[in-house]
Amino acid sequence: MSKRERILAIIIGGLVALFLLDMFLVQPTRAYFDDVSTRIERADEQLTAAQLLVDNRALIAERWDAYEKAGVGDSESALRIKVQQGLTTAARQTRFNLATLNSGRTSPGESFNEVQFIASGNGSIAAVVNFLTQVHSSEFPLRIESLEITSRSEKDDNLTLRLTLSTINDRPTGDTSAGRAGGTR
Amino acid sequence: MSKRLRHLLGIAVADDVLHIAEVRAEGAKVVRQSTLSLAAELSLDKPELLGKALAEHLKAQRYTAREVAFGLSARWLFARHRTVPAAAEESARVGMLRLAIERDHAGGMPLVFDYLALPAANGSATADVLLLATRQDVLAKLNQVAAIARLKPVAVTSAALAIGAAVKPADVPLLMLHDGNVELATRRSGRTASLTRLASGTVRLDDPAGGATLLGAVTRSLAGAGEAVNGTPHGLVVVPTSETDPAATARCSAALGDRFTVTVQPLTDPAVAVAEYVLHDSGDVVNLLQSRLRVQTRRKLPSAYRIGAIAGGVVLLLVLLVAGRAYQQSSRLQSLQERHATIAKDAATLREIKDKTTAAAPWMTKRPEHLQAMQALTQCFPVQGRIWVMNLRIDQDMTGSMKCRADGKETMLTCLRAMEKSPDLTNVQMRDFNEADRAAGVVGFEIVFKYAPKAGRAG
Repeated sequence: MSKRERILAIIIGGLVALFLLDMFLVQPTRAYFDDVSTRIERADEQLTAAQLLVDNRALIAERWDAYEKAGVGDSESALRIKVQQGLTTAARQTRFNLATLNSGRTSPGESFNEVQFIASGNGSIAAVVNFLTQVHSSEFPLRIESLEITSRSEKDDNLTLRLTLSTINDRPTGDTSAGRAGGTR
Repeated sequence: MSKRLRHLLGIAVADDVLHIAEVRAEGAKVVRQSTLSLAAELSLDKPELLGKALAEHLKAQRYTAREVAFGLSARWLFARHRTVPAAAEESARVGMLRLAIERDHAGGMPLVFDYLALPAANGSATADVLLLATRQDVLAKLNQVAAIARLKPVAVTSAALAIGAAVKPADVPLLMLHDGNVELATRRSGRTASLTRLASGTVRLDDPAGGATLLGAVTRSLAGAGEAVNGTPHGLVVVPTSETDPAATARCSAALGDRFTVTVQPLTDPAVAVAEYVLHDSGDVVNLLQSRLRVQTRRKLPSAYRIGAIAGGVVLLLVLLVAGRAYQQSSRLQSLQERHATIAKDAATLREIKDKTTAAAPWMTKRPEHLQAMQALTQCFPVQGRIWVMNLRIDQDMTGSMKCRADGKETMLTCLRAMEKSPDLTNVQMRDFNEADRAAGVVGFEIVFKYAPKAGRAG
């Protein structure tokens, strides 16, 4: 082999060796380290999130206890009664004429059972506003799904209010009696 | 010799012939030997031709050894006698000899020196050293010859030194005969103390009258080398190193016999002597290729072993770094997983509670969003003119519609513009418009909207 051929052979051999080194050693090693880095990052995130939850244990428990006491922990029937009594009381206190209060369908949600109510009645502007204020500030879990106010005439201070409300409880009953209606007034 | 040789090719370079012998180190067995006669065009001055001829000869004779030791005849050598302090250590002796060489040969032709230390006489404060040198271009030519013949030169020495080391008795001067050339070496304890080439022009062995000339030359050379010849008969060993004419050898012995006790040795192959001399290196072989007097300079390029060692070290370091990092990361991952495992159960329970709390939050908020939406709407009613709401509907996602009547288009438009400009209302659109009471100028209309209070404005 001449000197030139020897140099070429060394260069080609070196390139082939580098290629093989990259293929069988460098790339697998990099892939391994990338994988380990990703796993470390994920484990670190999981640990941080878990640690944050543990550190806020008291706050979370306190908040959930408050929710349970408010009614989330009640049975469905107890909650229905609580809502009906609460709305009736609010109507009386605000001089709102609560004409109907129907307990609507119960639908199982991801975490809770959701119970619907439809309330309608009439009253002055002040009575309606006060009644709505009471509904919003109720102690038990209650949400206005929709609200409709109708006025008969410009001069008449008598508004008709129709509310669709919902409440939740954390006691899965297994009873998904959709459309079950309860009635009242 | 740094490397232990198993086979060695000895080549004794004479004026017109190369003596070649392959010797196996074990048992000093001569495997092959031959001579390559140098025709008129072949000489060391034409290394390319000589190298090719040597390569062909080696191939034809089936020599297998690749390492070669060259033994030069006195023609290419300069021998000088030096005295150094007997107590001087090796390094000090080398330093002194270097200084002496520099002083004696500065500005002269470039020479390569090596030396042979001679045993000091008992009680003497000085010791003798034989300095041996050859021209650098001779070494270069030998290297070139070897390269062309695909040989690796390991030593360049004196053939006479090699023969002198082998022939007994060890203290008697040697007279080496080779065709018309004669070399004289004095020895001490088997080590050559002086080396003289008796010029072939003055000593003619093939001439019957040459005996007297030879006797005179030998006597002068020995006297010059400090050997007393007068008085008692002086021993002398005659060594024929080639197929010298037996008659010439006999004439030589007869001519010298008057003054010397001549012993004629059997024919000695100088190539074998050179190979054995180098193979049995006891640390004091004169080797002009690896001279002890050469100033040691750092090699420009590290040897293959050094490169290999550095590369191995680098690879080992990299492997250690990678392994260390892998261990570190693996430990960290394990530590994180272990810490997570200790709180995972509690965390899962707490997450479930937190998710439920978040899901229940819309039912627990005390924020009167619907009343705030109604307030935002009424703030859009104009001060001038009359407008009253017939029907208002707001859904859970805070989208709604408002059916109104107004005492004129201007009032209606003012209300619409105010709603469009309101920061808390978006997607405000007029849906319906009619003239409820044309005579009174009362118009009816419906506007849809979405209540989306800016952050910080909502209660």
